[in-house]
Amino acid sequence: MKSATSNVVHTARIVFGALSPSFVRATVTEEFLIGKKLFTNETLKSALQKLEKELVVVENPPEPSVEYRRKTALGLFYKGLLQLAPANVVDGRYRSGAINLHDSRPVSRAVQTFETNQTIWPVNQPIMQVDALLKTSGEAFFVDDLPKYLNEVFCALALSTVAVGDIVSIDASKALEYPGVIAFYTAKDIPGINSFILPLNFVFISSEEVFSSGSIQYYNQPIGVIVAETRAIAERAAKLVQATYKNIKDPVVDIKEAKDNPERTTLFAELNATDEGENVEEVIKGSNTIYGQYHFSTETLTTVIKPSEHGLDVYTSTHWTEGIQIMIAKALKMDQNRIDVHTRRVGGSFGIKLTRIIQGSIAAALVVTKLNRPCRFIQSLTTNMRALGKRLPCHSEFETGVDRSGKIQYLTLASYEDHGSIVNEQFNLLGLGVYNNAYDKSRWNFRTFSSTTDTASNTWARAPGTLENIAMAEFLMEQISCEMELDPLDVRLANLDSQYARDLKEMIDSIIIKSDYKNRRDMVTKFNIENRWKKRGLRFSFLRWTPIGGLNLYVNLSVYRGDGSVIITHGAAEMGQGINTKAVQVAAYILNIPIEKIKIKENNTVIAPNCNLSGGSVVNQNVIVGVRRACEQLLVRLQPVRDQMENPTWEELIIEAYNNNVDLKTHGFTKMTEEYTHTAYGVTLAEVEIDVLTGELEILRVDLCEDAGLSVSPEIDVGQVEGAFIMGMGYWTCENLVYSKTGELLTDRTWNYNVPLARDIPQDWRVYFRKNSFSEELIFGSKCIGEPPICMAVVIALAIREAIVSARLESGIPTKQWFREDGPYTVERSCLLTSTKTADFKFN
Amino acid sequence: MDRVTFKVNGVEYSVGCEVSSNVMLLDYIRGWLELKGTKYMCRQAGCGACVVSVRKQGALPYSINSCMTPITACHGLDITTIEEVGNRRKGYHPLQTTLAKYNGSQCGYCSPGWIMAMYSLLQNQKDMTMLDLEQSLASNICRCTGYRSILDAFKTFA
Repeated sequence: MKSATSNVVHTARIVFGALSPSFVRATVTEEFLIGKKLFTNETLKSALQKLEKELVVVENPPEPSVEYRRKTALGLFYKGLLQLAPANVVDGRYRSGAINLHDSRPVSRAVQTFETNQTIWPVNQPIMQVDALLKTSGEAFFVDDLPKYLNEVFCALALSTVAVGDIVSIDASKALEYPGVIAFYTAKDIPGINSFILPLNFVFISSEEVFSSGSIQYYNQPIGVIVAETRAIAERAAKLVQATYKNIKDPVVDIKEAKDNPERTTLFAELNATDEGENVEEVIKGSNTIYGQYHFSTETLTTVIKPSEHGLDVYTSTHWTEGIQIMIAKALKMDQNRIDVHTRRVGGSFGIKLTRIIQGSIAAALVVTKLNRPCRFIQSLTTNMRALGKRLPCHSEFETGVDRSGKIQYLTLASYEDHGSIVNEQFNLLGLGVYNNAYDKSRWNFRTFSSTTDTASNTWARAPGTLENIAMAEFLMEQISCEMELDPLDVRLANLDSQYARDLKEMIDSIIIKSDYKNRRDMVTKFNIENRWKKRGLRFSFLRWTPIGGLNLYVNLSVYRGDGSVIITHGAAEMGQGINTKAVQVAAYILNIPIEKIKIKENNTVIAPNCNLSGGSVVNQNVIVGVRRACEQLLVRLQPVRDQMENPTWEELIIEAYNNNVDLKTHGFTKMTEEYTHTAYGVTLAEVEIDVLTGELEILRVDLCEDAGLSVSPEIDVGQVEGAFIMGMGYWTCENLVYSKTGELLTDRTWNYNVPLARDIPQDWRVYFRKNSFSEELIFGSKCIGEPPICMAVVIALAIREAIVSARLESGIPTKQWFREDGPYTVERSCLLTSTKTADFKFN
Repeated sequence: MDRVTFKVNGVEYSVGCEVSSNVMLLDYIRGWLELKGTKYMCRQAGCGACVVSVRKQGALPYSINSCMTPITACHGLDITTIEEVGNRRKGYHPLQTTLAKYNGSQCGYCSPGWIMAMYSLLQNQKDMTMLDLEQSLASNICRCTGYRSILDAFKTFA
């Protein structure tokens, strides 16, 4: 806009993008502004009215709603004028509207604080991952790095194009005519059981079809597999497979629609209160719904299979080799001992490569047995997102009576886990131990239901069953404090379970001091009074986590007589969590040899049969115990030889033992029934700022205290905490799955499914490990670390809520009035929830 | 011009009618040259796992997403992949040792892409501040680390 010193507009250009293909220039508003004094409330008001009238915004899912884009277009116009306006024109409270939030972001800073006991190094020693250099140099092996095999073929899944119905016929003729296409296989081609999962242990209760045998249960369910000479041809041809359907029905994709339908919802468990208080000051009712999250492992689901002498050599990025082996055996009617499954490492999983990868592996194995050619099956990101299950959405409803301090007198709480098309993996079970988080559950009546919707069968996703329960407990505390007009920290403390109180209070007190909480609490309140267009929030979340279950693992340790070097296989999968590094640290400590002397080899079903899935955070503890047992067994065998020698070096001891016919291969076994009971705690305080005009978010500071026990590898555990927290932050802020009415997932790629990026993390991020924490000797005092921290990320949503509430107050909505929000606090939702009126856009 | 010629890690290659127009630089690097250090995920230039460094004659190097660059569009380019930056034979590059030391690599799958993005950046821009550097790292996704360790590692090069 051009104006003379009198601030009268000479010419104007107002341009918008992302509203609609037909609307770019706001010409009516431009014309209106010419000759007007620009920086008066009157001009602004009229211009906004003109602009609002001429904006053409059309729905374009999964892009944000018309309402949001309209609102933001007006907000940006106002923001632009605030930026152009002379400082003396703009009232102090409105100046924050001129700032582009992300431009104000400084260099991020971070501190990690933990103690390390040098007397037990290399256990508890902060070191980098043992294979870190292989990874940063690209030398680390991933499945698709296997060299090209002569004659190899590629696959792509053909997917259904209805959500609910029955297949009448499948016509692959167009696909088969496509040059380079070799074959198309469906359920009929599977000689054995058409399922990629069975009730193999207590977690699983159903089977799930590899390819639909007729009934379609969600949009983009696999109906067959195309085989072609190249990956690109396979993917193109898979889209040419046409099926016809009958009995097509509209899908139910939202748990809220499914929860009250008895055909879709069954009671999983009921845990009743043992006490009821009498001081009911107020009755509070509420409900919350949260939705799915795609795992977004950077390596997609990948399997390479080649024919072997006995049957199949399977290379796959799974963390359950046994599951792959058993299910291929059952699908193809082969003995398990004809199928060797290898996993060197997994390029990220977060749960998707536990059971969902078995489906594609069976498809690839079918192709290999049909054609007797090697098969490389790299699933595309869009297929992974569309065809596979995700984090379980969850709906909860409660009614509670609380006393004046917000302490619960009675509570009825029901939660509905959305399993997708079938109830199989029983995550309700994992929630039973944590539904009350750290709060006193004696007055809680808790019921948890399993529900189905017409979406892909939902699956393991970092902290399944626990994240949603812990989030519900934290939302409950927030709503009580909101409606009772109490400090949310006080409400949490009033409801704390006495058995966790001592541990948690120690951590809370520590965070309060380290974060300068009291001072910052006042500053946030002051900031919100002084600023109309930027709002801040400061909130706590608590965490109490108790792991359940143990795992079958077969740990093997071999020592080589030539130089005393050691190899270990531990039956679990390295997927970035640093399990190989921890195994090496434990072994080096027990054997008293340098960590460089020990190498961890690939996991495979030959050396490690029948190993349980590397799921849940407990795999760390199991590997530690298994390695410990194998090492201790070796030391026992070496002792008689050692007693005959005088201070031998490790190398001298080993060769002497060899010469004395000592068995230098040992074994460690861990059992499912063996639980390493401990409780992990966490406290997080987060401060956020939102731009009221756009809904944009900056996380100003996070102080996170994690109880990692005595960490076997502190640097690695810090990485687990940070990674989990950011994945959770994505879940609560930017990762939004959008489905069409037909049940089709519209957000299926990096362009429209937004995961956090480097400059989305807290500007100031401090991670502390709790001091002097120790679980039990057998596991070196360590605690679960991979999943618990993600459960604290709900703090970001809670802090955003405070910022939104402050903005709503400006629009006349009392702070006491709880607002319900389902799903992530995206920029769109945050902006709309502020309920800002355009009439409030002013200069002074 | 009957052949498209380019260099990968200093070695000259050429392609002609034997490659289809949908063969991307990524496919060529991994499939033809069997250089498997360059990774990929989304194949739509969104994740950064496939970043390599390229240089036109007389110009400064810059990063590209090899997944969306047709090999037939690489004429005259001098392409550097992670294998050339550093390896166990000739020694690792300070970027590689620093990212490792800071635990900026967990599952490791996105790491080569980050190294290549920084490798190009350091040659392309002189005297970068930490802020410049952070602002330049929006093209790579890491799902494991939460980015803090990666930023800390790379900021030592500011």
